[in-house]
Amino acid sequence: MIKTASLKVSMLTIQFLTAIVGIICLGALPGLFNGLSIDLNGYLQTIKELTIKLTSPLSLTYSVNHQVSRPLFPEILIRYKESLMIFIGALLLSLIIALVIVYLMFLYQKVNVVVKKSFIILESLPDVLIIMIVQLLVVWFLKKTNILLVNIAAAGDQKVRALPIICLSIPTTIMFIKLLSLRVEEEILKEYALFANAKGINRIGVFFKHILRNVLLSFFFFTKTNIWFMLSNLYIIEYFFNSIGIFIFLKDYNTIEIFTVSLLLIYIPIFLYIQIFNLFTSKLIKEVS
Amino acid sequence: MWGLFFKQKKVWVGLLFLITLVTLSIGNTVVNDGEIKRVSFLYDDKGQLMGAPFPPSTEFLLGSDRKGYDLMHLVIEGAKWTIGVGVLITVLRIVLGLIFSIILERTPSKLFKVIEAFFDSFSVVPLTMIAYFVLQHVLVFANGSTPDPFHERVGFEIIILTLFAVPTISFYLTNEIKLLFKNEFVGAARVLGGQKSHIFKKHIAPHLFPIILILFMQQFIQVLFILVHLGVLKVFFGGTIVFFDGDIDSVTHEWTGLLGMYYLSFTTHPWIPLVPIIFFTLTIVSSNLILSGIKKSYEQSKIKPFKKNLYTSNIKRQNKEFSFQPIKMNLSKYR
Repeated sequence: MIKTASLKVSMLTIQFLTAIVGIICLGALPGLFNGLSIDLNGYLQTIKELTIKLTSPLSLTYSVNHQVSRPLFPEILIRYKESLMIFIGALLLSLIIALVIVYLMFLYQKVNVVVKKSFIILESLPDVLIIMIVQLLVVWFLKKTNILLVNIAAAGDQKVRALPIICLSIPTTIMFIKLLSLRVEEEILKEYALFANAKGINRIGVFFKHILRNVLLSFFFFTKTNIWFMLSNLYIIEYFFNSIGIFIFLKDYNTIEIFTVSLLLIYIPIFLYIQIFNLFTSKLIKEVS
Repeated sequence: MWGLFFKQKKVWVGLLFLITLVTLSIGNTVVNDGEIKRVSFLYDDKGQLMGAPFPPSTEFLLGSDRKGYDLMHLVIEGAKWTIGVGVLITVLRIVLGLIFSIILERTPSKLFKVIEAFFDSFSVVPLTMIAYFVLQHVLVFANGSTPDPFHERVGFEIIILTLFAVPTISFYLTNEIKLLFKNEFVGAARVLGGQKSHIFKKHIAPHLFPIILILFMQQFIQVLFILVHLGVLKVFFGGTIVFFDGDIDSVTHEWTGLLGMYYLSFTTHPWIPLVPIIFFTLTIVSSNLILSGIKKSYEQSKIKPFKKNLYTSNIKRQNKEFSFQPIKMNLSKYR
């Protein structure tokens, strides 16, 4: 038991370290290209310098207009927190909306048919189009009624959160509905659901007490594709709303060090989340499926 | 598989849209020499002079941009670039991914795990971010003295957008190939003395083909999404790429350029950025229609023989005998 656990931990550390080496190699990529030609020596040099710089993270700086240099560390964390707020807000909002819609799909056959038919079009909406439509709607509403529902874009240090969260949650909700409805359909066919139905428990009870638990467990076992999808939408949304998240920070001051640090900041929590979730629930998931 | 594929209406809708768009676009270059209708000034109903941009009207079906170019015409002219570049990048991605996955399939599992961990960040971090970062750095270098020639910049962008997706694709394909190798018929072929290359050609490849087809459409859609993102971030294909204090213009009239140039003014002239983005959406919708058509016919082709042999024959026979009449049973022999 202890032996297998220690083996697992050592495997994980090896995975983690190689992933970090990968990120450093990725971050140093601009050193590989000298103009449009390839410069291998320069690349190795850049990797070396980058690693040395990363060993003392507190001394890293970023410069505004190549003049003033400020310490990177508290600043990037503040930006990071802002992105995280939007990400988590959108995640929770879209999860709630998706659950409600999936529940309606479960109850009424009509909703089920309509939602499924519109999937192909809904899925294909680029996030840029969604953002534009939402912004146009807010402006149109402002012109009609003179009430500004939510702030459209940030100026200076102002924070906009409501609209980015709404915009991010629209494509995410569509994706969640697709995943959840597929899972619910799988679960309904299983014997325990049939048994609960046969015992006379009403549909609401079956859904919330039995099906939802199993669905959510496998749902929170996020695949990387979902996170990837959400993050790439978040990148564009931050750019559109000029919010002060980490992606905009990265775009404005894109030096090699800042890129690598932000990559690490984004990657490490996701890696930990997936691994820890894997560790604790792999048994449960096996039992369910 | 193909019989069912072409029987679906949605597939035809998607195919027709894409084919018409590309044919019109190529036709415009061949017949019309790539000329685009341009009107700088117009008289409105009251006889007053109006300058471009014009909103959608009978004269301009989708309106015009600020230089007076007809947007409908522009979008059609640009279609072949955008769709062509998308297809090119997708093909390159799949070919490279397939080559690497065949190599990776043969590497020992411990080494494979290390390689997978090395490229793990690629599957989490948005490709737009990486592509923008790398491209921008290169462009800053190129901007110093003289910009590199057009075809080199485009080639570089294509290479970047291809290479960064290859790891994820090849890991996916490796796992699919590994699953296929676990099939019983592969074991049978091996027992009969088939070499690995023979098994791959004769037994794996036919099963891999539909998977690659589905992957192709998915990747095509993903490439279109990334092109939209890069367009918004002002990194265009073919045209001028971010110059610090110069005009931003797209030489080839491809869609991302239109989008990137005008999206900032979309509250005042909403139709200008909306036209290219709607055409993007239509392209993605039709690709999705084709994709779901492929998926459906693939699943059907998998299920078919199984159903016929096992179930239907038995069920039919029972149905004939069934009736609501009370059954007369001779119980005497049980007594």
